[in-house]
Amino acid sequence: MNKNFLFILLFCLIFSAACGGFPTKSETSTPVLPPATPLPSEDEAIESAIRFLEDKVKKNPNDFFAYNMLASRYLTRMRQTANMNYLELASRAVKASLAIAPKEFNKAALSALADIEFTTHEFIAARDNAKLLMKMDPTMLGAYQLYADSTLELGDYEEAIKIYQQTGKRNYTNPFNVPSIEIRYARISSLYGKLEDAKKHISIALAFLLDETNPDTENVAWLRWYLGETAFSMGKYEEAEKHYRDALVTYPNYFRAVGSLGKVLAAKGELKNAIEQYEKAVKLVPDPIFIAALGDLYKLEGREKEASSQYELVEQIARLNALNGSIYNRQLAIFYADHDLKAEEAYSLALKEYEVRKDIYGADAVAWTALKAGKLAEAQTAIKEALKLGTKDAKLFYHAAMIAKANGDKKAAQDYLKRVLELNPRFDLLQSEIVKKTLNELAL
Amino acid sequence: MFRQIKKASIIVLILTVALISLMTPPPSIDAADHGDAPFASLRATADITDFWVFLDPNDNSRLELILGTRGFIVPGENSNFGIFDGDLRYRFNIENTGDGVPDLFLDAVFSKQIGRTTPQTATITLSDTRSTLRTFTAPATLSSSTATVAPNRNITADSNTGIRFFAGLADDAFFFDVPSELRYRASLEAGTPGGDISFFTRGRDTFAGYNMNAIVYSIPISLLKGRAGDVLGISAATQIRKKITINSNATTTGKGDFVQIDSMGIPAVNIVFVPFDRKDDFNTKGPNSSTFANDIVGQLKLLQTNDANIGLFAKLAVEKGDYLRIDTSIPNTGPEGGNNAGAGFPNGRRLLDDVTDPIVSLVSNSQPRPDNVDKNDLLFLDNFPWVALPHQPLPRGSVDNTQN
Repeated sequence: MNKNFLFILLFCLIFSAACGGFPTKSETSTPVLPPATPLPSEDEAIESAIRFLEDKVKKNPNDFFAYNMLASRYLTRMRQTANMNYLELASRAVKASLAIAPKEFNKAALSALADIEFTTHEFIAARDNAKLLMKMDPTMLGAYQLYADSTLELGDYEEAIKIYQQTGKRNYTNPFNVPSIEIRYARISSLYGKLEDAKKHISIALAFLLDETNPDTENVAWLRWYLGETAFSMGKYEEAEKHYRDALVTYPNYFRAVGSLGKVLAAKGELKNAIEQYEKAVKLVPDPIFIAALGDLYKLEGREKEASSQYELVEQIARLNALNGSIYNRQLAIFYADHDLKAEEAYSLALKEYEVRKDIYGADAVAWTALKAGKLAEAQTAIKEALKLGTKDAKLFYHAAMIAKANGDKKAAQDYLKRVLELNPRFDLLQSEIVKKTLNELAL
Repeated sequence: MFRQIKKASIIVLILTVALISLMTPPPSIDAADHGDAPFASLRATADITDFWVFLDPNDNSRLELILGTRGFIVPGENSNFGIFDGDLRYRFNIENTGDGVPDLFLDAVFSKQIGRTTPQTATITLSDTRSTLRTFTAPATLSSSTATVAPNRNITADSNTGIRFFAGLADDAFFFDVPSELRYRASLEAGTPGGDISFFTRGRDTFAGYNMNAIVYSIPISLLKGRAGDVLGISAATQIRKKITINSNATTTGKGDFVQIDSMGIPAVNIVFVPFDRKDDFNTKGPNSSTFANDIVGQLKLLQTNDANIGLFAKLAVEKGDYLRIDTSIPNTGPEGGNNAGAGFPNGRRLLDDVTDPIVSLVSNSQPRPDNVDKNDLLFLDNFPWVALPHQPLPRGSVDNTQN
């Protein structure tokens, strides 16, 4: 048995044991979710709360309670809108709070700080602060979850699963905890290639959330969107589209769903509708992934000039990113590699991030950019690492195929490409075309 | 000091963490790249902020019980959070025999909210350890995030039981300067003899301007009395079913016994004096705090409390369970729920009672430790349901006159 197999076996043992202890496991099949309905918008309420709390701290700069609550509202708005200004405001509020009340009495601020660090991809800092919170309050589920989430992003899957298992077992009896527990199981299931299980966990999370007295609108939309992402990764485009549209019924103009709707429409070949969606998404949130996808669509439609300007925009945002942090490093590296641009820079970006964040998608970014930079040996090592969990992701298979092809391993390349076609043939606008072309070449 | 931690450690944590982590991060739109929804999760609706027990100053044959949950509600979010949790049982334990074991239970459970214009329905039940003694239903009161005046209150007077009931949003009735208290506590733990009392000069009410969810009863004392005669011990709890199953239509059903999520007797006992790793245990064991005596003593020693005062505290909160006790033969008179001398905390707790000062003093070896926040930001009512109307959002640019 090789190391990877043992690791997967360990996961199965730990994780299935964890699931066995939960009420939903033995008594529940995937719930049939109710149709999506619009939920009340919370935007105005939160903005009103922000005004109220900003007034409080203006009048009393020592009111760390208000600073903490303010930080939470800023973070909520950031999540709803992806407007990074809110992150900066949250960060300032947290710093002000911690300056007033020391962290040993101010878990809320410390917790918010760890959340901010997680959001800005400072996973080590987030993990360490979450660990501190766990020590300060061993009953604080959120601290354990943030610790495990950060650990997961850093590539320590064993530790993350252990914590998810322990906290899940301990906290499942409170229905309010269930969504947060189940989405973590979903994430693990996805990573380990159990996509149907992932769907089930997300559905259970959503069912519990919908059954709450006052479910959070964005959280409901997020879960519907996540169901869509899972369906998309399985090549179930109609199903994915339905989930994205459900998310938009719940929360109109939800940027994630708008963008992903563009993605699935493109996969279905509805390029004009896809462009419309992506144009809308980019207006809502100028995220490099949306912009790059829009550029790809323009390119496919022969609108080269517009495509180029979108690609330039991705780079401009990347330059801003270099000033502001490292949130988009990985996406930028992949973008360069996908578009055969700046191969060395892409590899260097991917490698730099992987030095700290050794998760499988980091390994994949290293593998893909290494291939483009002509570093085949590095690409082979990295792709092996990326595939170690048994993740079923067409993008990973595609990268593995191209690396195998470059290495002259025709059979492996064909196998991986066939897996792409079986799983999610339209996983990417431009790369999907290359899959077909390469398979044809290899068949000759 | 204690109530403060109740608020500081629980409410701030819950409000902030629930709102932050529940829907945490991120800008990442690539689901595979970044687990971006660590909704953390605390049941903020179950958090008990405070409870009060006093005789109706207008009719001393009635006992008034007020349970506050989910504090720090910002007026602009009244509609979002001014809701009772349909999965919970909001309970008062009543001990009427003097043995520390609850004898009667006054419970409210609420229907799930089905919209923001239809009030939830509460089912109120008075029972003993064997059976239901009285029950009735009553509407809760709606909340509004936009109205400049709070919606009219639904007050139910049940003719069969003689019980009056109100459930709805109200001004947070607690008053205390939390930042000062935290600094004072830090100075005690740092070893400053007697603690640094200079922090108390600010006199700002941390809770001014915020709302809480309130459940208020007025109940004939005759329904509650037992072998202990005029003395009743009261504690509060929020509880949830032990097991949840998910139905095929994606709704959930609670099954099995109830377990406690939060509980409160004497202000401070649970939160300040029970160490974190014992809190779950404490919460599930109900108001019997005797098995936690060593934990409580240990925490008091950390705060430099001397043996004499530890003994006083033990007598108050440990020997006969963690109950707020009230001698119903002591008359209560005065406005805003009563204010005559000698009739208030620790004999029950009235809305006007400044409970933190005596508790901080008790822990500080009977040294006076006033926090200079001596009253609530709003006047309490002179009649049922006593708690002030909730704060409503003010027009932009308004000054709310709070001093927190």
